[in-house]
Amino acid sequence: MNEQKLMACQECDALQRIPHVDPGRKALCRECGSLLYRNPRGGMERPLALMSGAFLFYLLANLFPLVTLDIGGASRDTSLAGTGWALYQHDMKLLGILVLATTVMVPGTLIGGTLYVLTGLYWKKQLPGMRNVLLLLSHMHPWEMADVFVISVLVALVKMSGMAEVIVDVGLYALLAAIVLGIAARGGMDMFLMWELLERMQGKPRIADSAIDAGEAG
Amino acid sequence: MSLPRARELGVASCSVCLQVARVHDHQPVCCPRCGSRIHVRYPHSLSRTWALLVASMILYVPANLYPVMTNTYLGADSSSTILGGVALFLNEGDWLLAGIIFTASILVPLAKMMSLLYLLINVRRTFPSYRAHQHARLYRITELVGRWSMVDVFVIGILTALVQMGAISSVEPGIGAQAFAAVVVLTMLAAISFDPRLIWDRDMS
Ligand SMILES: [Zn+2]
Ligand SMILES: [Zn+2]
Repeated sequence: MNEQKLMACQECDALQRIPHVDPGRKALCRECGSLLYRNPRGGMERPLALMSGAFLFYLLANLFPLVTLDIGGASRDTSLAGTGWALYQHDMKLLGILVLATTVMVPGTLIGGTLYVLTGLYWKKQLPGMRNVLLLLSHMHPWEMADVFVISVLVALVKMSGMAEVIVDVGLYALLAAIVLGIAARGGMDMFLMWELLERMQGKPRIADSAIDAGEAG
Repeated sequence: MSLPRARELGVASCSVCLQVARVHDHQPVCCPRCGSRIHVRYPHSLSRTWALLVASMILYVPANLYPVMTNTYLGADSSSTILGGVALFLNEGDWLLAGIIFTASILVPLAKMMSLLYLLINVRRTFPSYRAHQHARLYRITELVGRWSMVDVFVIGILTALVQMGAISSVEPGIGAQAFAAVVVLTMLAAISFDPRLIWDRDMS
């Protein structure tokens, strides 16, 4: 059982005791110096509040157009999902699906899923599928590109400003707010610690649960 | 190395939740905490990374040769490749945008492919440990910056969605954009397939 207190660095495989660090500090590998985990300042309230805000703004970002283009009286706007959808319709099906996934589906799932897990951890309530949601979040993370997308919108705006009038709409501000709040929320949490908390929460299984847990462990 | 390595002691850590578990004869086991498979090292890490990297290098050729978009303005068509898009910004005196697109679409993918190639070639060689530090840092940066290459693809998507004014002006995405997006995805998969622990393994043997 003393394996519980050990940790192997993901980069150099050095096995070490899990170092305890003060809130607001990072635990670094004693061998190679790469990040083991961060102990965020404050409790779960801050990431929970920030992620709730991100969720609301993300909903708004999907409901309102991002930008409107006006060329000599003819105007046209696009939404967040509109970008991927436009590519899909213009005979770039695979590309359209990729853009939809990285700018809409993955960011939305990440915000919603993180909020779900944080809610369960904060109220110490076992929500159905918490473990699988947390697992999904870890795998999805590299494919989240909402921040790259916002920079792209700005580039496109400058590019179009020469030939037409461009109007920035509510959706873009909402998306920007969702991203900033999401980054701030993620700064207040750590995946490793969330797994630890989840395990501790599930650590005292009721009689009915223990059979399931034993089955999963085997 | 002063600390023991997990592999020597017959344990391995879960790549998702960092749980340490005992492994027998290098057989993958299920993580007791999150249920993912725990591997001592990612299976076939190097051959997978090689395959994905070579595929991305092959697709990099059509990504740069074929137009990424076609702009119709008052009846006149003009297609542009990635490099052509950068040149267009430069002609208009937009140094900042030219810099952003050049960095995201040309510098980052090339640097990423080069650094993965470098890591793959050198991963079996023995170096002093400060070199391992440098290689590990190179890997970390490579993994982080890859997604920013998507800027150009997203710009083309936004223009396609917005600039549809019939005869006045319209934008069509080109096949080069699809190839370029494939390059980005393949290099990201290549970086994910690469097991950074292999960088430090050579110090042992
Ligand atoms: Zn380390
Ligand atoms: Zn695990």
